[in-house]
Amino acid sequence: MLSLGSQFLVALGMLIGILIILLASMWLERKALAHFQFRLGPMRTGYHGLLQPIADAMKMVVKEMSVPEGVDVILYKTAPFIVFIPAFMVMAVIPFTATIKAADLNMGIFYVMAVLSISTIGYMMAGWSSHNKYSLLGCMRSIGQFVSYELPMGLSVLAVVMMAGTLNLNSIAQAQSCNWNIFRWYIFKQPLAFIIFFIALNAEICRVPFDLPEAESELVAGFHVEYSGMRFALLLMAEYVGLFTLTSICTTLFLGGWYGPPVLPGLVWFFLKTFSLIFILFWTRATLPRVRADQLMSLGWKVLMPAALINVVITGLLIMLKVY
Amino acid sequence: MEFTLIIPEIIVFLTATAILILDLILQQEKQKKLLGFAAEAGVILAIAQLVRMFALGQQASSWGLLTIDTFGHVIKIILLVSTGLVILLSVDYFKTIISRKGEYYCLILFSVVGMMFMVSADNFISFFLSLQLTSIPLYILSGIDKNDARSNEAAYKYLMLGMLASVVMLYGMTFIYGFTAAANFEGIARQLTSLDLHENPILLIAMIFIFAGFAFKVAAVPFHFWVPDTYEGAPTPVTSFLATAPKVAGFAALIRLLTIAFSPLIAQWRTLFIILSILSMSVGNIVALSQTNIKRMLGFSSVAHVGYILMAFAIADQMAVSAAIFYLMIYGIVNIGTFAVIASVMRGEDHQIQGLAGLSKRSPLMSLSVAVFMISMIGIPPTPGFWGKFNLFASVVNGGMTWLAVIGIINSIISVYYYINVLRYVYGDQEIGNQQDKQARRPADPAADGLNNIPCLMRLAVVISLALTIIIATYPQPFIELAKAAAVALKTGLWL
Amino acid sequence: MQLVIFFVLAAITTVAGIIMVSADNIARSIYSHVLALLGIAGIYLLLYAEFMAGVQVLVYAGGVSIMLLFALMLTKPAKGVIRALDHPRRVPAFITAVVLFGLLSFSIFQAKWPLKVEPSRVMTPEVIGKSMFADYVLPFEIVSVILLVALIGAVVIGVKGREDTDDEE
Repeated sequence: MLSLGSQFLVALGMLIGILIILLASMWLERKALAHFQFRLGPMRTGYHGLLQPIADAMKMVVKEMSVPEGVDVILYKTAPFIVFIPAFMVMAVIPFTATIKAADLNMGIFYVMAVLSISTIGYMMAGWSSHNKYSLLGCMRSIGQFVSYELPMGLSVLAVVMMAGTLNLNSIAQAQSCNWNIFRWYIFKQPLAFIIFFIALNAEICRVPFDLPEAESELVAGFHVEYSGMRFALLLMAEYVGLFTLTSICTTLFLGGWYGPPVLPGLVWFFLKTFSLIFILFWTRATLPRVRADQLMSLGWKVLMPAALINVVITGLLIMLKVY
Repeated sequence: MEFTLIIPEIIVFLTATAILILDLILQQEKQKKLLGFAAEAGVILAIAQLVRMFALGQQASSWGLLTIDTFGHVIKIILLVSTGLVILLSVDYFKTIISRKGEYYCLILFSVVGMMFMVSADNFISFFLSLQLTSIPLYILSGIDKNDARSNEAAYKYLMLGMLASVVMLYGMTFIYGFTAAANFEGIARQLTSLDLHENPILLIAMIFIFAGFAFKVAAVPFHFWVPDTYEGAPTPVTSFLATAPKVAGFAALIRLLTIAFSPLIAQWRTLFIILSILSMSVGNIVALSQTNIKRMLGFSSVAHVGYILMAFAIADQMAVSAAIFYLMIYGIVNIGTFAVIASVMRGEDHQIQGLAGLSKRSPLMSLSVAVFMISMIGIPPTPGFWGKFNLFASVVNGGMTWLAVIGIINSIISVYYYINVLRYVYGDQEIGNQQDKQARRPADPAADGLNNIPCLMRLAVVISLALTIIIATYPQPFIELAKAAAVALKTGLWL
Repeated sequence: MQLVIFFVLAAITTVAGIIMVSADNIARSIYSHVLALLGIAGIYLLLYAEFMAGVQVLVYAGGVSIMLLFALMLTKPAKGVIRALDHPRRVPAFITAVVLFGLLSFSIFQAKWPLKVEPSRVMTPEVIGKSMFADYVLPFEIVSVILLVALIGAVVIGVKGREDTDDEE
């Protein structure tokens, strides 16, 4: 058990780390998108625009935080924090390597699911308190999306949990320990669960093709249309934090966490896998058009949900028959 | 195998789920009758299994937070018989009123499953959950006629007050658990003997909270305010179900809870039940006098009957408990019979007592049934009501509370007025005055023009209840023995 | 330290509860409901019931409240002045509440609770899961039937019946 002071330091370190990561992923996204579209992207600030995210962040910080008339002030001001804090709280249980981790919770993945569900309320608060039809529509959509994709996500996680026999993320990663035999990763034993998890993940963080809550062409910007300055920055950061935490959870669950062929250290493996997943998400964003609301729902409830249920049943049978 | 102990419950549950699926397969409205028959078949199958288990006379055995014993078998048979009658009644009644028949039967059966578990529950956890399983379908059932504003009101009132009662009860249970660290009844009893009530008044409060929940479920004064509106608003078959099955189950669970878990505190709860009993009898009977709506009147009369039954808890010896069980049997059958008559002759009306005027000319069978049921409710010999009340009052006198029995008898005499009032309309000739406007009203009401040809299944329901009533009247002994066997089977410290 | 945390959590829960019942705005009352539930989850954590706390957050704060909000947004907003949740008989109600509160708190403090300081055993998800599917399998199944019944009930009440469509034709 760490003392209170060092716990605080760990949290602070995490916060700084996640800020660096999210600036990096913002830059990566802009560059990746640009290159997908045969553009160059930001080039002027720093080498190949490396300092561009920092410039953007500075702009956000110094901007005025206006509070529009008619909003529910208390809810309007708290909402960004309710969105950001849970997204950041997930960081606490991610095992970067066997030793670099903030907390070793017995109910790790369960904690992740629980905490993630709180941020939904933050979206709801943001959208509702803004008193704007676009933001209300956006938050309605986001709630519908979260609720429908949380279930298949949870069920696909369940299949992994059944195989590992634990909820502890650290132990789940250890169950996939490998040297060269990467076939011990759960992605090879649970391909269906991985696909479901990855799609649900994509929907949970509202990225194209599931970006209905903030569909620019329909809803201006969705639930954060009335936000500006640092509050807007918090909402935006929450999205990128969510992007990173969920992909790293995915890495831990399916790609063996920090385990890999012993040519690179564990931490590097971890970030390599996570950023490849993030890159795939950018790739999807550049490739696919946005789905319609009804397509979104029918994919969630009629395809992913039954598939995830069947997957759980099959996994159970295979475990019972001692195949796994 | 241990789950063989709950085969009757499993049968009812499977029937309910099968009906859900069958409802999907049967598309035509005419075929929907089959759903009712399927439900009926399931109920009869479960009764058969229960009778078999009763005949085997196995020792009481516990499994999965339940105690399966003869007491449970007897009560479950009463429950299922009344459910069977209600289903029989519903098949034709709901021909036009509701479109979702599958859900209707399935909800009734789920509620019965809850009741059956409740009767056997010997643990706060299983008890509270099965109570919820009992109640939630009942809330929905009382509002199943969505186009009727009164039905909506009935459901709303029942839901609000019912949930409040459940919460209060759960709050009481948490206190008991906090003291005894046990949720099963026997464990609670063991712990309670070593606790001093005077040092811990919270136990008394907890007990009152739990009894308040029960009093709501069985509709005892002062927790009866939902009764008139819900009884009036709910469709008549649902009312008949509400008036019988949940009460039987509630009383049975109360008997188990009191005689096992709370047996060390008998001195305290006896006093509570004396108060509850006197209040329920008196308020129920006196308010029933002024009712003009027959369903409301029967509601208040059921409150009064609850008062009589609660007298048994004021004594709480083996004789009183078996008298209460016997009374419950009779109460269930007679009440369902009465509601069956109302359902068959007063469809689509506002259930004023005047509406029964001239029934003796329209339907001799129905009027005879009404007469038998009403006289039975009063308790005039040789009806079963008499045997029930006789046993009950005798046990009260035997327990040394003659004055309580006297109050009961005075109340029975008060009740003569409003029961006979019904018969006055049925057999009297007041119909001439009303005939004119009834004629005028009838064509506007499509459901009412079938008044003179009562569907055969409804007739069957009435006839079966009438037959059972007459059988109990002629041969009360086997039924009294049955009730006694049930009471003896209880594993209680009070009379072992 | 634990006591301080407990009182902070209890204060949050109580204040949120009071806001929940007294707020004029139903959305606000739902949000304070969430806060109250989170406070309770914190108290569970304080009692080493990690799993309970997780379930509390996941099911109540994350599930039930969101459903409440969702239902709220699907309904029409009340037109005109939002009426405060008042009742003409609030004075007797207040007196009853105070008396009940006094009585309960008196007897709670009066009682000699059989207190245990240490949690009896560690409640890992494994222990909970095993007892839930072995000793408590029947209540567990009853709960699932209750949920099924609630679902059917919602369908019965919510879905437009054939009666309704007949009226429109």
